[in-house]
Amino acid sequence: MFNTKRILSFLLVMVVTISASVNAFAAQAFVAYDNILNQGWNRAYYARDCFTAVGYGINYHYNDYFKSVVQSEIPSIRSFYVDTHGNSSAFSTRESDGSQGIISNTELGNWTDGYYKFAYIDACNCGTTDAFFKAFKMSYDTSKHQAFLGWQVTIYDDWSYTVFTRRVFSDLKAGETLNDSVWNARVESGKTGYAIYGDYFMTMNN
Amino acid sequence: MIIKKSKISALLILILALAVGLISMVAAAQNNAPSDPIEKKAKNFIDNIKQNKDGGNNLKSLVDKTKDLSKFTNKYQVYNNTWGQNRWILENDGLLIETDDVGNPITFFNKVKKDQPPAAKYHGDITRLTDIKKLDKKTLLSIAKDVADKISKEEKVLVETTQMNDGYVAYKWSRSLQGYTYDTDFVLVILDPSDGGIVCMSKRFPSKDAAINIKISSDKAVEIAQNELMRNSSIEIFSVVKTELIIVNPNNYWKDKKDLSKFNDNARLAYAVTFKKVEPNNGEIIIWIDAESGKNIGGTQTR
Repeated sequence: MFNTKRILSFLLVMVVTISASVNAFAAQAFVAYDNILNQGWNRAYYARDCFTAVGYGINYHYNDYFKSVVQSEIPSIRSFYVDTHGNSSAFSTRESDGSQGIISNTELGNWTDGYYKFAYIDACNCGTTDAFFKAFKMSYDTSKHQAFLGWQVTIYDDWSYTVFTRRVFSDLKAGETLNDSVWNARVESGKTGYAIYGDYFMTMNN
Repeated sequence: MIIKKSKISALLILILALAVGLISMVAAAQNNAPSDPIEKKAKNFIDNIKQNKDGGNNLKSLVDKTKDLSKFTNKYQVYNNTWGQNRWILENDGLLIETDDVGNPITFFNKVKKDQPPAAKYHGDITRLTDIKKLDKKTLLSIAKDVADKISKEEKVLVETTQMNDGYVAYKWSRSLQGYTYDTDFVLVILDPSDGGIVCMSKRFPSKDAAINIKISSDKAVEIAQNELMRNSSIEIFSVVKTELIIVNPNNYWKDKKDLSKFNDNARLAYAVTFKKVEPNNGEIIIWIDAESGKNIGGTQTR
């Protein structure tokens, strides 16, 4: 009494559902910190935790946070967090000989490919303009639900800035909007020199 | 008998009326003055911050949204692992108040302003906000000071005024003790520059009071700091940018055994010696030399 058509339809639905899930979980996030910064691991831990919770696989780097690694991985990742040194037009990596690698927004723009959901460069002045937002080829069209977070000021490797980043990622993980997340982070840390470019009301799930 | 019956009826009606009146009065009293001590403190806080000293209404953006700002629809307790404290959250449609475990307010959110940051419609480009009429800087600062004093009566020093990326303006005070500012503890007030309304405010004073004992000189502190950094061959320092006495939370940043996974609330008065550095990165490093013992107790560096 088996209905072959029904069984086949059921199997088809299952296959489609499983493929969709695999697809969603196939997205990768890039998380890295310059290990010359003593608290980088603490902030990166929360970034990694958030991205993992919303379904990303993680490309995690600290002993091998090299410029070549960023270049090779950036076309295939969909969210990005680095904890490092920076200025309004570049951020740094830590090369195998201990020297600093420099990645300009122009270089980054040449490497990025496709859609990026959320990028946060946790370094001095990288949010002074929308240059990095544009380097990630993000859109001001809020229906795309993507955003860049960065700093417009000199920042420090200290507890208060760690509090800010930890709170942002904890709240994003909990499904809050980026606006609510930075709002909570600023009252908790007292840090207000950040900048959002893109969709203030994006969540990690929309 | 008829007279007696009507007397009894009248008496009963009177008693009933008195009972109803009494119940109504109790209910009204409960509405206006909550018996819960946490709610009571929050209500007093709202009443206090509503009015600014110039007679304006700090919360006028909330009037249409929430008729009774002091009536909370949600109240719950949370543990904040950043500072290791239990807190109460009280909220309604228009606002959120966070208090410490005994009900002293430490956070205030105006939800209307939170959900409508002026720059959101321009996606963060505040240069496009030129069409917004702003109050003058002096008036805004005066409102911010007034509000800051309502959340904190303690000694504090204004250290920052920031035009934020979302279109609001932030004023930040550092907690201070005998004129020495705390590195971590702060009061933050954020205003809408178009009407002076409160966007949010917070007070975080997680540090214990520091002892003010100065036994070494500024020059000696610089010498100790230079010697400490010379031991670290990976850092090439250039010159001393500044030296100031501040109250810090020791973290042993420049030692092998660091203590950075949690906040240290045992505050110390220290010389913060700032050096310009060139290797391995351009920037600044700060080393804290304890003003009493002369020991290197930590610091930080720019990113």
